[in-house]
Amino acid sequence: MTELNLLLELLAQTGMDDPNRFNEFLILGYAVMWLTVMVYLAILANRQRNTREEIKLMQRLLEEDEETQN
Amino acid sequence: MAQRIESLNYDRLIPILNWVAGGALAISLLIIFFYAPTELTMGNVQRIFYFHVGSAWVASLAFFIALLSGAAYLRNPARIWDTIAVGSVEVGLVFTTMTIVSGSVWGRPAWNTWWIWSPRLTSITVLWLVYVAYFMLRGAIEDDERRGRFSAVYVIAGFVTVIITFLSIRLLRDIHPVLIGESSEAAEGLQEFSGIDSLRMVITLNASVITFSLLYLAWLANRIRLQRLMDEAAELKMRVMTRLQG
Repeated sequence: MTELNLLLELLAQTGMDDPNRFNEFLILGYAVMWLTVMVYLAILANRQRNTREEIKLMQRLLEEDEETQN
Repeated sequence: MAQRIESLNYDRLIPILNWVAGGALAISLLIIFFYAPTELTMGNVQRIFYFHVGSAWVASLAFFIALLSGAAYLRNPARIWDTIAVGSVEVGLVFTTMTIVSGSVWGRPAWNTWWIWSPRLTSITVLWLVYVAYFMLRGAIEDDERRGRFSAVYVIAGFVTVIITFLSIRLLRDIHPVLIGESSEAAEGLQEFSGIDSLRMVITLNASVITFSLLYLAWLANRIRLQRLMDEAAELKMRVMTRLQG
Protein backbone atom coordinates (compact mmCIF):
# COMPACT_ATOMS: atom_id res chain seq x y z
CA MET A 1 0.00 0.00 0.00
CA THR A 2 2.85 2.32 0.93
CA GLU A 3 4.57 1.52 -2.36
CA LEU A 4 1.36 2.25 -4.23
CA ASN A 5 0.99 5.60 -2.46
CA LEU A 6 4.59 6.47 -3.27
CA LEU A 7 4.05 5.56 -6.91
CA LEU A 8 0.89 7.66 -7.07
CA GLU A 9 2.70 10.60 -5.49
CA LEU A 10 5.50 10.34 -8.00
CA LEU A 11 3.02 10.17 -10.86
CA ALA A 12 1.20 13.20 -9.51
CA GLN A 13 4.45 15.15 -9.37
CA THR A 14 5.71 14.35 -12.82
CA GLY A 15 2.47 14.00 -14.74
CA MET A 16 0.91 16.84 -16.68
CA ASP A 17 -2.49 17.09 -15.02
CA ASP A 18 -3.44 20.35 -16.75
CA PRO A 19 -1.08 21.82 -19.38
CA ASN A 20 -3.00 25.11 -19.30
CA ARG A 21 -2.70 25.73 -15.57
CA PHE A 22 0.00 28.42 -15.94
CA ASN A 23 -1.33 29.98 -19.13
CA GLU A 24 -1.73 33.40 -17.51
CA PHE A 25 2.07 33.48 -17.06
CA LEU A 26 2.57 32.45 -20.69
CA ILE A 27 0.38 35.35 -21.82
CA LEU A 28 2.03 37.74 -19.37
CA GLY A 29 5.53 36.67 -20.48
CA TYR A 30 4.86 37.20 -24.17
CA ALA A 31 2.93 40.44 -23.52
CA VAL A 32 5.81 41.95 -21.55
CA MET A 33 8.36 40.86 -24.17
CA TRP A 34 6.27 42.37 -26.98
CA LEU A 35 5.84 45.55 -24.97
CA THR A 36 9.63 45.82 -24.55
CA VAL A 37 10.10 45.39 -28.32
CA MET A 38 7.36 47.88 -29.19
CA VAL A 39 8.70 50.52 -26.79
CA TYR A 40 12.21 50.17 -28.24
CA LEU A 41 10.98 50.34 -31.85
CA ALA A 42 8.82 53.37 -31.04
CA ILE A 43 11.82 55.13 -29.44
CA LEU A 44 13.99 54.24 -32.45
CA ALA A 45 11.39 55.50 -34.95
CA ASN A 46 10.83 58.67 -32.93
CA ARG A 47 14.55 59.45 -32.73
CA GLN A 48 14.89 58.83 -36.46
CA ARG A 49 11.99 61.15 -37.29
CA ASN A 50 13.26 63.91 -34.98
CA THR A 51 16.78 63.68 -36.42
CA ARG A 52 15.47 63.89 -40.00
CA GLU A 53 13.43 66.97 -39.06
CA GLU A 54 16.49 68.48 -37.43
CA ILE A 55 18.53 67.87 -40.59
CA LYS A 56 15.83 69.52 -42.74
CA LEU A 57 15.71 72.52 -40.41
CA MET A 58 19.50 72.96 -40.48
CA GLN A 59 19.57 72.65 -44.28
CA ARG A 60 16.82 75.30 -44.56
CA LEU A 61 18.71 77.62 -42.21
CA LEU A 62 21.85 77.22 -44.28
CA GLU A 63 19.95 77.86 -47.52
CA GLU A 64 18.28 80.97 -46.06
CA ASP A 65 21.65 82.23 -44.88
CA GLU A 66 23.14 81.72 -48.33
CA GLU A 67 20.22 83.56 -49.95
CA THR A 68 20.58 86.56 -47.62
CA GLN A 69 24.31 86.69 -48.32
CA ASN A 70 23.67 86.73 -52.06
CA MET B 1 36.35 46.04 -44.01
CA ALA B 2 35.32 49.31 -42.34
CA GLN B 3 34.90 50.96 -45.74
CA ARG B 4 32.82 48.06 -47.02
CA ILE B 5 30.42 48.26 -44.06
CA GLU B 6 30.31 52.04 -44.36
CA SER B 7 29.53 51.94 -48.08
CA LEU B 8 26.47 49.68 -47.67
CA ASN B 9 23.22 51.22 -48.89
CA TYR B 10 21.28 51.14 -45.61
CA ASP B 11 18.16 52.74 -47.10
CA ARG B 12 17.85 49.74 -49.45
CA LEU B 13 19.11 47.11 -47.02
CA ILE B 14 16.96 48.01 -44.01
CA PRO B 15 13.48 47.37 -45.53
CA ILE B 16 14.70 43.93 -46.75
CA LEU B 17 16.11 43.06 -43.33
CA ASN B 18 12.96 44.32 -41.59
CA TRP B 19 10.70 42.16 -43.76
CA VAL B 20 12.90 39.07 -43.45
CA ALA B 21 13.09 39.44 -39.65
CA GLY B 22 9.34 40.11 -39.40
CA GLY B 23 8.55 37.03 -41.53
CA ALA B 24 10.92 34.87 -39.51
CA LEU B 25 9.28 36.10 -36.30
CA ALA B 26 5.82 35.15 -37.59
CA ILE B 27 7.05 31.68 -38.62
CA SER B 28 8.84 31.26 -35.30
CA LEU B 29 5.67 32.08 -33.35
CA LEU B 30 3.72 29.54 -35.41
CA ILE B 31 6.35 26.89 -34.70
CA ILE B 32 6.42 27.70 -30.97
CA PHE B 33 2.65 27.52 -30.53
CA PHE B 34 1.62 24.87 -33.08
CA TYR B 35 4.63 22.64 -33.69
CA ALA B 36 6.60 22.46 -30.44
CA PRO B 37 5.38 19.75 -28.07
CA THR B 38 3.85 20.62 -24.72
CA GLU B 39 6.41 20.10 -21.98
CA LEU B 40 5.51 17.35 -19.52
CA THR B 41 5.93 18.96 -16.13
CA MET B 42 5.18 22.63 -16.76
CA GLY B 43 2.71 22.51 -19.61
CA ASN B 44 2.24 25.37 -22.07
CA VAL B 45 4.03 28.01 -20.01
CA GLN B 46 7.30 26.34 -21.01
CA ARG B 47 6.81 27.97 -24.45
CA ILE B 48 8.29 31.14 -22.92
CA PHE B 49 11.58 29.21 -22.97
CA TYR B 50 12.01 29.63 -26.75
CA PHE B 51 11.91 33.43 -26.61
CA HIS B 52 13.83 33.49 -23.32
CA VAL B 53 16.76 31.47 -24.71
CA GLY B 54 16.58 33.18 -28.13
CA SER B 55 16.84 36.66 -26.61
CA ALA B 56 19.61 35.56 -24.20
CA TRP B 57 21.61 34.12 -27.11
CA VAL B 58 21.26 37.27 -29.20
CA ALA B 59 22.13 39.51 -26.25
CA SER B 60 25.42 37.59 -25.87
CA LEU B 61 26.01 37.82 -29.62
CA ALA B 62 25.35 41.57 -29.57
CA PHE B 63 27.83 42.13 -26.73
CA PHE B 64 30.40 39.96 -28.52
CA ILE B 65 30.00 41.99 -31.73
CA ALA B 66 30.40 45.13 -29.60
CA LEU B 67 33.62 43.66 -28.18
CA LEU B 68 34.94 42.93 -31.69
CA SER B 69 33.99 46.43 -32.87
CA GLY B 70 35.71 47.93 -29.82
CA ALA B 71 38.88 45.96 -30.60
CA ALA B 72 38.65 47.00 -34.28
CA TYR B 73 38.25 50.66 -33.23
CA LEU B 74 41.38 50.51 -31.08
CA ARG B 75 43.30 49.06 -34.02
CA ASN B 76 41.85 51.42 -36.63
CA PRO B 77 39.79 54.31 -35.20
CA ALA B 78 37.21 54.43 -38.00
CA ARG B 79 33.86 55.94 -37.00
CA ILE B 80 31.90 52.90 -38.21
CA TRP B 81 33.40 50.62 -35.52
CA ASP B 82 32.22 52.94 -32.78
CA THR B 83 28.80 53.14 -34.45
CA ILE B 84 28.49 49.34 -34.61
CA ALA B 85 29.62 49.02 -30.97
CA VAL B 86 27.09 51.53 -29.65
CA GLY B 87 24.28 50.06 -31.77
CA SER B 88 25.14 46.56 -30.73
CA VAL B 89 25.22 47.40 -27.02
CA GLU B 90 21.88 49.20 -27.30
CA VAL B 91 20.20 46.27 -29.08
CA GLY B 92 21.91 43.84 -26.67
CA LEU B 93 20.42 45.72 -23.73
CA VAL B 94 16.92 45.42 -25.20
CA PHE B 95 17.40 41.66 -25.59
CA THR B 96 18.86 41.37 -22.08
CA THR B 97 15.81 43.18 -20.72
CA MET B 98 13.60 40.69 -22.58
CA THR B 99 15.61 37.79 -21.14
CA ILE B 100 15.34 39.07 -17.57
CA VAL B 101 11.64 39.87 -17.83
CA SER B 102 10.69 36.59 -19.51
CA GLY B 103 12.83 34.64 -17.03
CA SER B 104 11.14 36.34 -14.11
CA VAL B 105 7.66 35.59 -15.46
CA TRP B 106 8.63 31.96 -16.11
CA GLY B 107 10.26 31.74 -12.67
CA ARG B 108 6.97 32.48 -10.92
CA PRO B 109 5.26 29.17 -11.88
CA ALA B 110 8.55 27.21 -12.03
CA TRP B 111 10.15 28.33 -8.74
CA ASN B 112 7.16 29.93 -7.05
CA THR B 113 8.92 33.29 -6.96
CA TRP B 114 9.35 36.22 -9.37
CA TRP B 115 12.94 36.81 -8.39
CA ILE B 116 15.70 35.21 -6.36
CA TRP B 117 19.25 36.53 -5.92
CA SER B 118 20.85 33.35 -7.25
CA PRO B 119 24.28 33.55 -8.99
CA ARG B 120 22.72 33.62 -12.49
CA LEU B 121 20.10 36.25 -11.74
CA THR B 122 22.58 38.39 -9.82
CA SER B 123 25.23 38.18 -12.54
CA ILE B 124 22.78 39.08 -15.32
CA THR B 125 21.61 42.09 -13.28
CA VAL B 126 25.25 43.20 -12.95
CA LEU B 127 25.69 42.65 -16.72
CA TRP B 128 22.63 44.83 -17.43
CA LEU B 129 23.90 47.61 -15.17
CA VAL B 130 27.41 47.47 -16.65
CA TYR B 131 26.07 47.96 -20.18
CA VAL B 132 23.67 50.72 -19.06
CA ALA B 133 26.72 52.47 -17.56
CA TYR B 134 28.34 52.30 -21.03
CA PHE B 135 25.87 54.96 -22.20
CA MET B 136 26.55 57.05 -19.09
CA LEU B 137 30.26 56.94 -19.93
CA ARG B 138 29.60 58.00 -23.52
CA GLY B 139 27.38 60.82 -22.35
CA ALA B 140 30.11 62.13 -20.06
CA ILE B 141 32.79 62.53 -22.79
CA GLU B 142 32.39 65.27 -25.39
CA ASP B 143 35.37 64.69 -27.63
CA ASP B 144 34.48 62.13 -30.33
CA GLU B 145 37.90 60.51 -30.52
CA ARG B 146 38.29 60.17 -26.73
CA ARG B 147 34.71 58.91 -26.38
CA GLY B 148 35.32 56.26 -29.03
CA ARG B 149 38.56 55.10 -27.41
CA PHE B 150 37.23 55.01 -23.85
CA SER B 151 34.02 53.28 -24.97
CA ALA B 152 36.02 50.68 -26.91
CA VAL B 153 38.08 49.80 -23.84
CA TYR B 154 34.95 49.73 -21.66
CA VAL B 155 33.01 47.46 -24.02
CA ILE B 156 35.93 44.99 -24.16
CA ALA B 157 36.25 44.92 -20.36
CA GLY B 158 32.46 44.76 -19.97
CA PHE B 159 32.34 41.43 -21.79
CA VAL B 160 33.71 39.81 -18.63
CA THR B 161 30.17 40.09 -17.21
CA VAL B 162 28.84 38.00 -20.14
CA ILE B 163 31.41 35.28 -19.40
CA ILE B 164 30.63 35.38 -15.67
CA THR B 165 26.89 35.14 -16.40
CA PHE B 166 27.48 32.16 -18.70
CA LEU B 167 29.68 30.35 -16.18
CA SER B 168 27.69 31.22 -13.05
CA ILE B 169 25.29 28.28 -13.28
CA ARG B 170 28.07 25.92 -14.30
CA LEU B 171 30.37 26.70 -11.38
CA LEU B 172 28.00 27.65 -8.57
CA ARG B 173 24.91 26.09 -7.08
CA ASP B 174 21.95 27.71 -8.74
CA ILE B 175 18.23 27.18 -9.19
CA HIS B 176 18.60 28.10 -12.88
CA PRO B 177 18.98 25.06 -15.19
CA VAL B 178 21.99 24.43 -17.46
CA LEU B 179 20.91 24.09 -21.09
CA ILE B 180 24.21 23.75 -22.97
CA GLY B 181 27.06 21.67 -21.56
CA GLU B 182 27.30 20.40 -18.03
CA SER B 183 27.58 21.98 -14.63
CA SER B 184 30.42 21.20 -12.27
CA GLU B 185 29.82 18.66 -9.50
CA ALA B 186 29.71 21.40 -6.87
CA ALA B 187 26.96 23.18 -8.77
CA GLU B 188 24.70 20.17 -9.12
CA GLY B 189 21.82 19.37 -6.86
CA LEU B 190 19.18 22.02 -7.37
CA GLN B 191 18.66 21.69 -11.09
CA GLU B 192 15.68 19.55 -11.96
CA PHE B 193 15.13 20.69 -15.54
CA SER B 194 16.05 17.82 -17.86
CA GLY B 195 16.72 20.10 -20.82
CA ILE B 196 15.51 19.59 -24.34
CA ASP B 197 14.27 16.06 -24.77
CA SER B 198 12.63 16.04 -28.18
CA LEU B 199 13.71 16.78 -31.74
CA ARG B 200 10.77 19.11 -32.22
CA MET B 201 11.94 21.16 -29.24
CA VAL B 202 15.42 21.38 -30.78
CA ILE B 203 14.00 22.53 -34.14
CA THR B 204 11.80 25.12 -32.40
CA LEU B 205 14.70 26.43 -30.34
CA ASN B 206 16.93 26.69 -33.43
CA ALA B 207 14.18 28.51 -35.34
CA SER B 208 13.85 30.93 -32.44
CA VAL B 209 17.61 31.54 -32.24
CA ILE B 210 17.80 32.19 -36.02
CA THR B 211 14.80 34.55 -35.82
CA PHE B 212 16.31 36.55 -32.97
CA SER B 213 19.63 36.74 -34.82
CA LEU B 214 17.80 38.18 -37.85
CA LEU B 215 16.00 40.66 -35.60
CA TYR B 216 19.36 41.69 -34.18
CA LEU B 217 20.73 42.31 -37.68
CA ALA B 218 17.68 44.36 -38.69
CA TRP B 219 17.73 46.46 -35.53
CA LEU B 220 21.48 46.98 -35.73
CA ALA B 221 21.18 48.20 -39.33
CA ASN B 222 18.39 50.59 -38.24
CA ARG B 223 20.56 51.81 -35.37
CA ILE B 224 23.56 52.37 -37.69
CA ARG B 225 21.38 54.44 -40.02
CA LEU B 226 20.13 56.48 -37.05
CA GLN B 227 23.69 57.11 -35.88
CA ARG B 228 24.65 58.31 -39.37
CA LEU B 229 21.68 60.69 -39.39
CA MET B 230 22.69 61.96 -35.94
CA ASP B 231 26.25 62.54 -37.15
CA GLU B 232 24.92 64.40 -40.21
CA ALA B 233 22.69 66.54 -37.98
CA ALA B 234 25.61 67.33 -35.67
CA GLU B 235 27.77 68.34 -38.63
CA LEU B 236 25.04 70.61 -40.04
CA LYS B 237 24.55 72.15 -36.60
CA MET B 238 28.24 72.98 -36.49
CA ARG B 239 28.02 74.63 -39.90
CA VAL B 240 25.00 76.69 -38.83
CA MET B 241 26.77 77.73 -35.62
CA THR B 242 29.86 78.78 -37.57
CA ARG B 243 27.73 80.81 -39.97
CA LEU B 244 25.87 82.50 -37.12
CA GLN B 245 29.12 83.35 -35.35
CA GLY B 246 30.71 84.60 -38.57
